[in-house]
Formats: sequence, C-alpha cells, structure tokens
Amino acid sequence: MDRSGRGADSPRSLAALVAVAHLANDVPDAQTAETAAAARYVDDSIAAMPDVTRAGVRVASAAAYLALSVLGRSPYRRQSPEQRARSARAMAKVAMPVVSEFNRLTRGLALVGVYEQRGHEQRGGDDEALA
Amino acid sequence: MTARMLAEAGLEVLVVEEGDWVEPGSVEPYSVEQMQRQYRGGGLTVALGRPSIAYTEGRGAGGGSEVNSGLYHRPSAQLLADWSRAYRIEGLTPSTLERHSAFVEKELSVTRQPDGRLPESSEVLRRGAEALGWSGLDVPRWVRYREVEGVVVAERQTMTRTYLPRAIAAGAELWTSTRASKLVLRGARATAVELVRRSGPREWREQVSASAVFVCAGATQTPALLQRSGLRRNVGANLSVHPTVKVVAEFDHEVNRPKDLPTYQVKEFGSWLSFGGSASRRALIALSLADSWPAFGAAIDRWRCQSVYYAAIQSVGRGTVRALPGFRDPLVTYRLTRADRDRLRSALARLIHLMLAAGAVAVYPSYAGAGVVRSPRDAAEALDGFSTSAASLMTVHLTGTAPMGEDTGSAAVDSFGRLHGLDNGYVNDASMLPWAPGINPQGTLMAVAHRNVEAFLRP
Repeated sequence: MDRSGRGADSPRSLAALVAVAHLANDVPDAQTAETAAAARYVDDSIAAMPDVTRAGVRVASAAAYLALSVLGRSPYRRQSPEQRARSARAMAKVAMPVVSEFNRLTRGLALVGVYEQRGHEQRGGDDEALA
Repeated sequence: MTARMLAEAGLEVLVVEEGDWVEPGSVEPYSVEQMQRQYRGGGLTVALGRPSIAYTEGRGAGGGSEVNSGLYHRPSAQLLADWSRAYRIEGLTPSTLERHSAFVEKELSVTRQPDGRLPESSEVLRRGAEALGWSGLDVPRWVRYREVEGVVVAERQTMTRTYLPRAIAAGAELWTSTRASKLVLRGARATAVELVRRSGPREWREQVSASAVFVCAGATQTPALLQRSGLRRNVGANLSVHPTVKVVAEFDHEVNRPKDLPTYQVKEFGSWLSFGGSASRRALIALSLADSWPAFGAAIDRWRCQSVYYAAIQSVGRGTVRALPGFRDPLVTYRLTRADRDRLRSALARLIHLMLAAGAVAVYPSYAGAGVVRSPRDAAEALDGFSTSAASLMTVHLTGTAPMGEDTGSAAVDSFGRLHGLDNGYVNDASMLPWAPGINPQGTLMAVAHRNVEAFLRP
C-alpha cells in the first residue's frame, strides 16, 4: 500500500483514510509499512470500540467527510493523496466540536500506530528491571 | 478476591469473565497489543461530555490488576468517615478495616522498591518535589522483587498470578470469553444469570442457576448489567472519577525506560490533587504530544529524555452509566463542574511548576494550541491559553455507580455490598465505593471486598 492508503491493504474506514492523510503531514518520513500498520491499527481500534462510541464515530465520520469534501472541493474519497493531506491539514484547524474530536481521534491513533512500530526495540514480558 | 474466598469456604463457585486469560508476562506492558487484548474497547473508552474524558478499564481474567501499576494506598480515616456519613455506611472505620488491609498486604506482597531505588522518571519527580518543599512518597505496590542474572526485576502480583489460581485450586470454575448479559430475577431473588458464551466466531446463550450472585464487573459494566436486569434504584447515576491533565516533560538526560512506571507521587495538596508519572512508551509520548503535534512533533526524536506526568484532581462533578436498548455497551457520560475546571487549571499550573523545579528543560502540555514551556514566563502564557475543552483529559479510577450504605435514597447496595431490594445479589467492585477517593483506589477496594465476603460467609 502507498501512503494514500490505496492498494490491496487499503483502509476500511474513513477514519483510517484520514489518519493516513494526517501521517503524510505529521510524519512525512513514515515508511509505507508503518503507514499501512497505522491504518490497520485505526481500523482495528474502531472495530474494537464500545458499540455506543463506534456509533458516535460514525456520526462524526459523516460530518468530517462533509468537511473534508468541502475543504477539498471534491468528494474526499476521490481526492488525490496530496489533496487528502491538504484537506486533513485544513480540517485540523476547524473548531467545530464533532469535527475536532474526529481529528483528535484519527491523528492520535495514527501517531500511536506509527510510533508503536518504531518503539519495538524493547521486547519482553511484563517484568520491570530496576536500574 | 471474592471467588477465592468463596471457593475456599467450600462453596461451589463459577467465575464468568468476558475477556480472555492472558498469561502474565506474555504481553508487553502498555503496548498496543496489551490495549487490544486486555483493555475494554481496545483502550478507546470515553465518558462523553464537554469535554469528554477518556478512561481505560481492564478486560480479561484478572481485570484491572493485569494492566495497572499495582500502586497501593490504605484509605485515610477522614475518607472512611466522609463516606460513612454521606451514605450511612456501617462498620467502615480504620480499625474495622485494619486486619483486611493487613491480610491483602501480606498476601499480595505489598512493598516498596528495594533499597529506596527509584526509576529515573520517578527520581526527577522526587527531586522536583524536594526543591519546592512539597511532600511526596514512593508508593508501595503489590510486587515481588527477585534477582535474575544479577538484575532485580519486579513481578506484579496480579490476580492471574495470585487469587485466581488459588480460587481454581479451591474448586472454582472459570469461564472466559463469557459475558453475563443479565440476572434472572424472581421476586427479591436472583435465580440465574443469563450468559453469552463465545468460541471463535460462534456465540450462544446459556443460563446458569445460582443461589447467590456477586457482580464484580467494574464501575461501568456492573451498573449496566444491573440495569439490564431491571435493577435501577441508585444504579449508574453517581459515576465519580479523577479527571487528569498531563504533560510531557523533557530532561537533559535519559529518563525513559519504557517498562518502568513511576511510583513516586506528590501529595502536598492532600487528596484533592495528586501528581505522578504515567506509562511513557514512545507511542504514548507521541499521543501526549498529539494535540499540538505541528508545534511539538519534532520533540518525539528525544523521547528517551522524556516522560509523561499527570495531575489528577478529586472531582465535584458526577457522571452516569446507562444501558441502552439495542447496544451491547453502556453510554457513559461525565459532567465537570466549574469548580472542577478551576481545579484542573490550577493542577496544570502546579504540574508545570513542579516539572520545571525537577529540572525539565521543556514541558509540553497536552492540550490543543499549547506552546512549549521552558520557563515560568512560558508557563503563565501556557495557562492563559488553557481550557478544559481543548485538553485531552483522561482517567483510570472509576467508582461510585452502585454506592454502598444504608441510606436507600442514595445507596444501591447495603454496607456490605448486598443490593437493596435483592436477597441474594451483591456488588463487590469499585462501583460500591461512594466516590473516587483521591488515591489509587485498589487498596481500599480490596480491603472492603475482603470485609464484605467475610460478612457474607459469617453464619
């Protein structure tokens, strides 16, 4: 998958698509595999959410999709990866409560997804070693 | 605790657990994998409100004990007196709780770090407190320390390492991947529990009859289960938490060892405000910087010199837990009061002050639009721009949704956990604590739970 999220491993949800767009802005050196892992993490996280919260995310996704489409002047899913990144950057400045919560969610999950990959140099169980 | 005591008393016990059994030590602490396997909702649970407050709950055999840091406090005499007065709780004093606390402390090896050694992320906090003349303590934990190849390692005494195996050894049966959907009531008795069992993609319903039922599903799931069972009096309306603001503090040397959890807490301001350290894996540092990522993002490259710190308040506000028709999970809400907002602002100010005193070269507050704080002057500017609605508030201590006491106008269960109006139904988890106590609540909860089962078993 490329950074746009297209390909056989493409994100299932709008949230993951937006998360990938955030990453293009926030972590420009993210590798393809890291971006793909982050998108999967966003999808999995939304699937694992409590159903009430997931219903709320669906509503927020609809509002965000509208905002992203207006900001990009075309339906978001049809925008190019570069345009999606620009739209996501513009949406990050929108102060509407639902949209800003969606923005916070997708950006946060995307960053956790990427930096969890990068933080894997420490492996092991839960025993804490004292210095 | 409950299952073990009942089983050892010779009762036939079935423990029903919605999640799975995850072998202790098999999952990296505070990792995404742990979130997905051992936290409810993958760790993405939230109490809706303005602002919403993210919370986390353990889900799986052993519950919260498997994922928390095992920090242990005894409740203060003042707290027990306040609870007892507000809800007319009988027999809840330091002297009546003493032997229960002592029992838990012995069984779970509650102890401090050997030789007073602290992880560096705690050490800096201690230095900051000392520089300001603020009081603090290295909080004991339920941990066993042992030496492996010359290195002292800490092994948390979680329930899957302690009470659950003992319960099973005493004859209790444990069904994992099994969700209790409701109690079946006949008059004033619970006669059975309706279960949804899961094996791979397959789910099926089953009823198990019971002579007594203990509900220990935590402060969101316990009230939801009771409400689905038709038990609504004083259930789910008094959610109390410790709302928390956080910062990333950066030092001129390495402080971050991802498996460490700071055990030092600053308690200068009593129960209403506590400071401490949070899990600080690289991904969690990134999450804490996320609200102001365009300004803060570059700092993540220095994550080894950074750690996450929090300020937690006792809240005047309250929330609700409501089981909704058609949904599996309850709707959780929380309303901060004006006093709470003022406290959070004050808490953030003091936390920044503390981190600068601790030698932080930069402090990154977790709210949208924040700037980097490097000096007291920056701190004043940061506070000018702070609002709770812009902050990523979170909490881990949820209590109060089925409070105990003899006041049937406000309490859901009696002084020993029995549901008002039900002869053989009990709550024995954090739901029964009247409000969030201003300390890590599990020490209090374990002692009260032990006391309640003992009262149940008394002829």
